[in-house]
Amino acid sequence: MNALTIAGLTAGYGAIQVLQGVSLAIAGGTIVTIVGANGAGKTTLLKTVAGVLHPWRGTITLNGEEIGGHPSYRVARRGLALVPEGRGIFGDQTVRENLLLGALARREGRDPESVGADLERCLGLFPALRDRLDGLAGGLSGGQQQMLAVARGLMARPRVLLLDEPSLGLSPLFVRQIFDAIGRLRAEGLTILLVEQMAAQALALADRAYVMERGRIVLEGTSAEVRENPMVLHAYLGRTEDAKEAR
Amino acid sequence: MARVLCAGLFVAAAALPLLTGNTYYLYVASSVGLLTIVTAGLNVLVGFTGQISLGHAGFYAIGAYAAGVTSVRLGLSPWLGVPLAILVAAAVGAVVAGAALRVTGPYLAMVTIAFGIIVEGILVEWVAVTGGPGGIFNIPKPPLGQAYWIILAVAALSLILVANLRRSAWGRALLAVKGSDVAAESLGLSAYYVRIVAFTVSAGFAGAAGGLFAHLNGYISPDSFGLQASILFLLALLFGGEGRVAGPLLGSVVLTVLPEFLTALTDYRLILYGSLLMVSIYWLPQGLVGALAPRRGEETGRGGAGERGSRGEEAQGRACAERQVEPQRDPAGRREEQGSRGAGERGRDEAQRPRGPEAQGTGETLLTVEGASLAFGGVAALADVSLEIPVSGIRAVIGPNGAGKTTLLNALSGFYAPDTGSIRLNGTPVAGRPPYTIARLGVSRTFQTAQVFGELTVLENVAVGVAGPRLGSVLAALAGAPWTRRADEAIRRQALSLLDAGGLAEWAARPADALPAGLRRRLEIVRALATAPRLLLLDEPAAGLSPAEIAELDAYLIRLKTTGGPSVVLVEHHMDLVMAVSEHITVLDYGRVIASGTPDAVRANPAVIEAYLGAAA
Amino acid sequence: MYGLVALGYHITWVTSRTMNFSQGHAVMAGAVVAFAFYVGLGWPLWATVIVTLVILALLGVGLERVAVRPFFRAGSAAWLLSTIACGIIAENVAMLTFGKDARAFPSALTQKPILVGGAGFYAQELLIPVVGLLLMGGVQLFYHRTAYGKQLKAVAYNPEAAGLMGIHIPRAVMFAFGLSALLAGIAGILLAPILNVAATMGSIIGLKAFAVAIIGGLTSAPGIVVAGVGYGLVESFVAGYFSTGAREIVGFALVILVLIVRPWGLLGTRPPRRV
Repeated sequence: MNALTIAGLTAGYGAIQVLQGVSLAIAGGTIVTIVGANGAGKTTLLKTVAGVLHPWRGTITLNGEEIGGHPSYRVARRGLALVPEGRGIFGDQTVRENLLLGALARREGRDPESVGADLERCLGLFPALRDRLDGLAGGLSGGQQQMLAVARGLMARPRVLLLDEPSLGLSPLFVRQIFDAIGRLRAEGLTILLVEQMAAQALALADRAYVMERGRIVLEGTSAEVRENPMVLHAYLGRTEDAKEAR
Repeated sequence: MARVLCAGLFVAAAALPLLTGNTYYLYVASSVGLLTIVTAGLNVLVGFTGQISLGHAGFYAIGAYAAGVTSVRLGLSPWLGVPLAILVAAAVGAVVAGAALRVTGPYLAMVTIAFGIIVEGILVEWVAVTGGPGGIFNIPKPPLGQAYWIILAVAALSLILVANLRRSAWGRALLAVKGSDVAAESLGLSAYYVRIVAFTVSAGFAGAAGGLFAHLNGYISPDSFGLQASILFLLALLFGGEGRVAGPLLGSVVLTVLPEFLTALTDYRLILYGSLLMVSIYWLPQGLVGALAPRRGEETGRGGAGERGSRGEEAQGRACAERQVEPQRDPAGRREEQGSRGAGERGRDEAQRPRGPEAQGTGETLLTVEGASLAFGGVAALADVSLEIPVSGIRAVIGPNGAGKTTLLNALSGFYAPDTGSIRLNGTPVAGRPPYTIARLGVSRTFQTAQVFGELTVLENVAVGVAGPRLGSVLAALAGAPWTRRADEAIRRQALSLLDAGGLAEWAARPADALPAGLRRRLEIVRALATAPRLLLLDEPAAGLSPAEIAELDAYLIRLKTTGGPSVVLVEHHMDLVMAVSEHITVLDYGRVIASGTPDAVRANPAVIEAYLGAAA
Repeated sequence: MYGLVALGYHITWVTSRTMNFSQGHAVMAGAVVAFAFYVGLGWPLWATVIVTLVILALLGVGLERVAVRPFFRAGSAAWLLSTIACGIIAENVAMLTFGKDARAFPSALTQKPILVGGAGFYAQELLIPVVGLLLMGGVQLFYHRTAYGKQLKAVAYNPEAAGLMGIHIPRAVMFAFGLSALLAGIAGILLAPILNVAATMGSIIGLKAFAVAIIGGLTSAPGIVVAGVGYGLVESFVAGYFSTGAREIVGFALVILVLIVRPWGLLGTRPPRRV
């Protein structure tokens, strides 16, 4: 059974439809990436899956349970964590407090020992946070905030982790660190859906890939296959000569 | 239909003294008349401009006391006293507005409540002038029949004045500011100024009613002018239908007559008011008038799939399952500029970076940006951006998510002020000037989410653009003066021809929020062009459009260029559109210009490819 | 004493960016309900206090469900007006059940005035600022130290992200309203012996408390308490030197001034330039 299955998902904002019937499947313990230009609907897709947006049509199944249409706080407690675009950290609270808030959604309960152990694990993954545990989250640099956001998502011990453009606004150094961390998480068996604009790096990391354009999936396959495909360049930079001929 | 009803009511009212000599009925009808006058004015503020006031009893009181004092203490004739009362009330209104309108929402409500209470307090304390708690009595009272006719006439006049206002450029400006103050500013209107005028007008109306009340009653005391009265005014308006001309009348009738019928239930009066208020907010957002005669948009149904109503649409869009607090209408740049960004410098500008004037063969330069930088909370959204825009042609600004494109557009149109650097329009420095000033200098724009004025018709939307800040005198607009009407006709004709050129003529009379999403964008563009700008800034015009619509947009932009339209700068993600229409592309990344040149050059530029796809593995 | 009620505004604002405009009426409700149980039914004081607080908390939650949540989508003014509407309905209900006159609420602490340097205070009056400070401390502790308090802070800072953490947003908002009603209830019980219970006491208290909340800063609990004390002092001063009527004028003029000059209050935080 796939960890996450989406079928025929349609959603949007107000009267504007963004997702035009998206379907995809993610097998447990793999990294799937969705690439595409801005405006393609990637963030809308993640938000709908996480319960921030209400789906118009279609189903979302998490480990066999239907979660489409449930509000985000319920979806979070079923084991799906979203690290949103823009990070969504609570700037007026400390790093530690942010991480502890992340632990709220744990399904295993919150006894202090095991939460403490999780905290340690996260700090192991992102050592830069250790020195700043008691500092205000708002004072961290962008890259550190992104790390905090990912760590916070992990504190909930999710079964599926959604990442919305974690590289946004980060220097190459931080991007590399984050992507390394993501790779290590897969090794531990976590299922990850990674949405990225930085296609090359995402494709290097992922197992499978989907390309979105204007609210639809236009290409899918293993990440190697997708990387070779000229359509990827097209999705970002418009018609190239090859694509024109291919039509 | 509503107009027929109104006319009918007035005829019936006029006939009343002939049918019955019973002074009670006349008195009640007079009260309805007075309330109508107040609410007609309040409608201008609340219904047309979207501001809440819970302090209008204060202006009512000022009017009443002005009339009372001048007639009793100074022996002035009511024919002088009442107009004087109007002037005093309006003057105070202008002052209060100047101060109060610096805040909005609950804060504004608070200020108006505070104002009302202060007035009440002054009435009680300033015994020398106001007679203190005892009030003023022996105010000359014309015989009830005569007073009745006068009040009736003034009430009818109020509604006519407001209807005139609605039809004029001022009326459209008010509704524009209500609908989207950001868009209104981009068309040259100063929202602050427009709101002050609306407030002043409404204060004047309340003053008039107050003055008449003094002479109707012969006696005034601070009791009648408390917060409850202000609530009643607002309630009558909301229940009757704010924004509709007939609303004040219907609301006033119901809210004056109903309690009279239910005198047995006087004790329950407040419950009645409270419940009516809640009912009207929840079920009758357009009031009684709206229920009886819905706006044309609703009758014919809303186009588009799953239309959920434009009010609050953006708010709903952000977070559906969760409640988004404070739905702010800030379409300018919200998506991109969230959170802080990494301190890392990319330093990839070893590739082409233009220096000096562009050799694009277009001659003069219209707009020059030099070294503009803008940071939010320590993070650079724009870093040392320089570019030049020629007098004509189409250029694009592209870049990955968060590159600063919309920030740049906002800086060019005055919504953001750059921290350093300069922006010159034909040599005039404009950096940091307010949006409406820059609009008046010939810069026009559209927004990421199309900001059409929903309550105005499609034609009226464009008319706002045509008129811009040239609204004429508000008094002339109220009076429906012939020259105002003529000017208005001219504006409408021009708007219609612009709509025609834009292919929207058939929608002219429909409310703008009945337009399907793709056409709203087009309306926005037509409206922006109506100001005859020299520079048109388009913020992601292709967002949400179908491929067919994008092709139409392509053609439209090219047609604009060939027919001598303004210089166009386009911020866009849809590369098809960008590549097809632009002559020149500037690429931003992390707030810096990393490439600039023809579409082909840019597309092949390795720095650009890397910006979008990331470093090759 | 206004500070106490004003804290209620602070709480709902901090959690949900909305306010309960009928906070003053909640105070009145507190006083009235307490009266009903203590004087009317003759219940012992401690039982009265508990019951009153419970009822008030329920009323607060109910208000949020009925008057705020359904109206939230209708535009920013709608919930404001509907809480005002509820307030005046409540006032009327109280008038009907309680009667229009003010009635005295007996209390051991108001029997004998304590004389301090020529001015007389009732012990009850001293109790109020003490309780106010305690509660303020309690509220601060709650928000900054307890887990649930931090969750509520998170909801205010970024509701979308808070939802992603698994925080039950609607419940958080309900809690805030319930809590602020509770505080109003406490205020009502404390004020009852001093002001005499009346159905009409609600509006003016609510308004003044709101003024205090604005002056002190909706986002700052200490600011509110300070402003509350300050406002009370100014009031007494003005009432002493000028007249009781001038009290209101000066007070509200002050509010307008603050709103123009520093809309986020004296100790509040400037709302971040959320772009």
